[in-house]
Amino acid sequence: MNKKEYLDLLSKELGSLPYNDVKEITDEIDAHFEMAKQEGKTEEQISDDLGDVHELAKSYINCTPYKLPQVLKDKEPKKKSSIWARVFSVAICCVAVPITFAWIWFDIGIATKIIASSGLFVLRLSNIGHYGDYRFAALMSQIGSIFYVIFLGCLLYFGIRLLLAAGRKFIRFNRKLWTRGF
Amino acid sequence: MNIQFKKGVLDMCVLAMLREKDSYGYDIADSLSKKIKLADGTVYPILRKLAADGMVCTYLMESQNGPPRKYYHLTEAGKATLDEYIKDWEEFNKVVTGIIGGQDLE
Repeated sequence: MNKKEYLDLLSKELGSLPYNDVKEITDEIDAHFEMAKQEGKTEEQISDDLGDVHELAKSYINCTPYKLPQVLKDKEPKKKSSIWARVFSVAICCVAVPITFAWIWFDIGIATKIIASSGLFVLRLSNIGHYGDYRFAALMSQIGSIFYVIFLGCLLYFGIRLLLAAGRKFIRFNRKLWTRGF
Repeated sequence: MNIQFKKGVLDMCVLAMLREKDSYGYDIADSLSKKIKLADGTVYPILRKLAADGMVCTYLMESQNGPPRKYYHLTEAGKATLDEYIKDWEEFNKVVTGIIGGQDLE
């Protein structure tokens, strides 16, 4: 067997080990081949001297310590919540919940009102003839209003999404505070 | 020589060789396989196990010909283990010699 055949077979036999280990081992045996070649040995002779490749792989596998996967170790110890954490949790809820509802009341309320009134623009568009010489200006102003409503709609959409995401985070944070403390 | 005899003492032999001087894999494999008849490859897994157990540590050193070589150095833990091995071995050797020589040690 030549060097390439021997190393290929060795790395195949070491298949159950992590890649880095296989690389280190084959590099080591590769170095052995190179040093033995400098002493005038042939690759066939060297692989004969190294011994059976199955045996070598087996002893390597037996001597490599098996590492436990990280997941099984270091499980977070259960923490008990303190009374102060719970008081804090209730306090921030007392502040945050009214503020959120006030924001929903004012902001979303106003935005939806404006969007709803966009129907009026369309209505006004139908009797554009009444504007006389200012027809073009009125038309432009009305088209501008429609874009304003679209813009407000987008703001409302992202505002609601942000609110839902923040709400979810707030609930999770409070639950953690309640059960496991700071 | 019986392969089972060799297997038990190889760790001790490798540690003892490294106590004399730091050495690289090929050198240990070559000189050990000349003294005890065994496959050259046998030494490498042993060195790997000794390194994993902290008995030896490794460092790279440039060589005059070819790529840098991985040298093995006996650690303090390795020295302590070797002393233990040698003590055990001498005791064991005495007992076995006694048994096969027919002497009654009791």
